[in-house]
Amino acid sequence: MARLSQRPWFPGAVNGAAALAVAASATAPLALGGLAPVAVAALVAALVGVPIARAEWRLRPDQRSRTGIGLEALGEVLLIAWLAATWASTMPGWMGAGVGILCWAAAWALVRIRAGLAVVALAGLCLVQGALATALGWLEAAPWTLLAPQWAGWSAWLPWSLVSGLLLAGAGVAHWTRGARPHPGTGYVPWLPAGGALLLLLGVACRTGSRFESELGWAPDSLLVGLGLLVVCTAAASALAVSERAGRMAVLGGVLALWFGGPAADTVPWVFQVWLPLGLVALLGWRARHAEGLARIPCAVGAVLALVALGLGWPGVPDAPPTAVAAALTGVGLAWIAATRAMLEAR
Amino acid sequence: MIVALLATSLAFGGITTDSPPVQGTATVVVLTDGDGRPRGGETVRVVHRPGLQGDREVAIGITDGLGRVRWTPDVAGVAEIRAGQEHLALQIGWPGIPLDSAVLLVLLGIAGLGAGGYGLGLGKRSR
Repeated sequence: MARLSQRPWFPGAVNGAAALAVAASATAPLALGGLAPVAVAALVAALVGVPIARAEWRLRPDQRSRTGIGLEALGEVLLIAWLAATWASTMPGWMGAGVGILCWAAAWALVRIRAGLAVVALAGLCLVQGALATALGWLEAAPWTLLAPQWAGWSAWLPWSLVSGLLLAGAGVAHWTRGARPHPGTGYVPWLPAGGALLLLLGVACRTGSRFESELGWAPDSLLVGLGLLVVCTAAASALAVSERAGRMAVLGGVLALWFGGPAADTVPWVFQVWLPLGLVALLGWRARHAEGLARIPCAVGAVLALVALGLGWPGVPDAPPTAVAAALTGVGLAWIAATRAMLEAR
Repeated sequence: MIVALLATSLAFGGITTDSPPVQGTATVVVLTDGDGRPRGGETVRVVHRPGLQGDREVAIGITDGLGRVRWTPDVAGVAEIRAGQEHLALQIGWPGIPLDSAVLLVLLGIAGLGAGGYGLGLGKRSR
């Protein structure tokens, strides 16, 4: 019987990494719009994200051009940074950074032992814990206050919805499969992480809403923090499982967990609002230029949506000089890492 | 319901309601000082969805000589009654399940299940 890591759907694990990170980043947009941002993200995922991921799933990008290698490296680095920043926003501070480092180490160790089993088992645990958290939340209180859709305030949550909709399907990062190659006829696989992550997202929304209702406001929730840790660990394992550079990426994840937990804690929003959409504009724009036939359309639309998200969600230059310096260093650092990798691999 | 009763009975800061508030049902907000004496002439406000986008503050009236003001909540959910420096967080009961949120939740759940099932290859003919 073939190992799980050799199954034709396994390269989709990196799609799962991106999708799970979306589920872990949902608290802020829920406060802004209730279920409205989730609904728009699901729509973007179905109409744009999944078609992009399917196109990337089928195509093998031009790996030998420096631009192609560079952009693939950028997608990889951005995904790692996003996972690290997601954890830093769930558990801020140096303790959160320490836990984040352990999380990356654990993900790497599990993947080294049995990659396929680790990813599937962790994903299953996420769904089970998400379902449990949801059920326990409903027993406390129905979450209707937080979940009430706030369509009028769309400008506040639309950037998150557009970017999350693309990443629910792993659009822009689905080509990052240097490990197992996607098989012909498995183009429907990107629907799986999108659907699973959407269910997890709804579970997180219900649990957050139930706690808000029962506590009559925001209150710490250790169950959600635990779920967030499990989700980030699963996403990290998914990202490492299909990579030929798992060790180096795990080290990068740990370093970024330390960076966002400590010196650059105030720049975490910049990862979501600036670097991620900027990277998606570059990735999807390049993909639209080099894709063939109808595949160009969703890629071009995705690039435009990412650009809109960047424009609407632009946080402005930070007032505090240390924060501005940290934000700039983060962007420069991520670009430098991607460019260095591209240069070394293009030799 | 239990939380609302608890919030009402434990009303610190001198704000109480004579019954757990429910959307569309009149109730009375009572304002007292630290010695239990009614406070009249105080403007009472309610903030719906405190701390969330779409929060709305509404003045519900001025307390009479007995420190009372009549209030019929028009929006359900978590709210905060404010009078002077005092405030009371409570839940305004839902008369029923809010249809817009419930329908959206169910539709998104079905979409998630459908997408996940399709991604697993369920319903597709095997090659």
